[in-house]
Amino acid sequence: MTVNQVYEIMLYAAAKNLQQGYISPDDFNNKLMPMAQDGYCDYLLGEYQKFQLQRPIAPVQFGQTERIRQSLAPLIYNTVLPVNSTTGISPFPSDYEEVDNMWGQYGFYNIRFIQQPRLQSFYRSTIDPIQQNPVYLLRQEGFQFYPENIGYANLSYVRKPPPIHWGYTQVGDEPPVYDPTTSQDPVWSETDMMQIIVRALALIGVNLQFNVLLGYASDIKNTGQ
Amino acid sequence: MLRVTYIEQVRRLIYGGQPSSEAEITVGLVNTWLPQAVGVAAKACYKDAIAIDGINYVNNSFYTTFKTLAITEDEQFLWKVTLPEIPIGIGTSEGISRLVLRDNESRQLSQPIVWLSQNQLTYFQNMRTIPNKVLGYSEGIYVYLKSELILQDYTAQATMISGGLSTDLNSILNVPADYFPIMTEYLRVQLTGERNTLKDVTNDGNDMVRTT
Repeated sequence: MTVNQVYEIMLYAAAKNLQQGYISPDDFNNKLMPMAQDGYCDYLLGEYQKFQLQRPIAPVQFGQTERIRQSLAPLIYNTVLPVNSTTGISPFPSDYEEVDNMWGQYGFYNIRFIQQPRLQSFYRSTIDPIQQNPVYLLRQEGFQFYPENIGYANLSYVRKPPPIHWGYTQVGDEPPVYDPTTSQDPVWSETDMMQIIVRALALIGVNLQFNVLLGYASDIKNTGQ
Repeated sequence: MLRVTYIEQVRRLIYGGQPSSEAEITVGLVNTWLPQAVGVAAKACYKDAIAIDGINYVNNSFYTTFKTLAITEDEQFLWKVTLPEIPIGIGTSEGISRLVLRDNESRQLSQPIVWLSQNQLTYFQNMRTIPNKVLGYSEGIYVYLKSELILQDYTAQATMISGGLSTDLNSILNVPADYFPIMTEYLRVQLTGERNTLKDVTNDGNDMVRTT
């Protein structure tokens, strides 16, 4: 789905459900899409706000099923992290959102995430010596690896969703005209994009069911805006 | 079965499938439980032999021969061999059944040493010596050899009940197939016990798993 289709669906929905319904390109680019995308990404990663007491399980969790992974697949990237051999710290990638998995540079050995209170137990383990069973913590500076001289680590991570941008040109008081050369299409699949549109519309007070939105989308495809 | 294969089998049993990268029942942890499980299985075999055959023995399939064990001088005429693990404590000599010395130049093996019990240690020096035999006794992980010969140029070969070399995960786990279920049941109880124990996940200075 292109960003133009997204924008058209949102304009259509706003026009149908709001008096004088209109969404400016700037509102679409800078407010609605970033918030809706981030909200949907948070939902797929597992909203900890929905945890219950003594039961840290969200209704939807990253990795819970292949379907959820499939939705996030456009955001899952791999990189090799260089680790400072003295401090054991490697900064987060610039677009980093959440760790998917971490493993060693040579061979597929696991680098485990641990929490600070358990560091000394892992560090002093004689059953699983830290040299052969490296671990990492999360800190403000980035990933803190033990042993510090681990060298490199392979990281599979979920990146922040890239911005969705409806580029346009505007002459005088004429309506803005879509410009694909300055636009950026969403990376999400069509069904996931519908979920994002539902969230974006909710932000302007248009609360639609998913299937109503699907109807709008097919209207636009069949008859145009 | 390879040691690493059996460890994988046990971990899959505990986790109901392939363990994730967060699994706390690690390969190393299962490997440290294995000697205990082998001991339980060997003891069951020992009891079975008495119950069925009326003779106390442990099936040959439990035995491993460890070679090239270094011999060092402990005291005058007393030599020490370090075993790869402490022999299990069943029977009088079932734990470590045989120990021979090897001349590395001629490749000749000595006759097996004659074992002394701890009681015999208190009086064996007053007894007539046994010609051409080395006497020895085991204590924990060591075997002590009484000999006037210079033994440090030789190496020792010890045959004992053992699952095999625990440091080599790709070695064969020396247990007959009919005793694997006993080991598996033992490991399952221990490891699910660890897995199901409530954990203190809060970092609040209290070693508590439940609050009121």
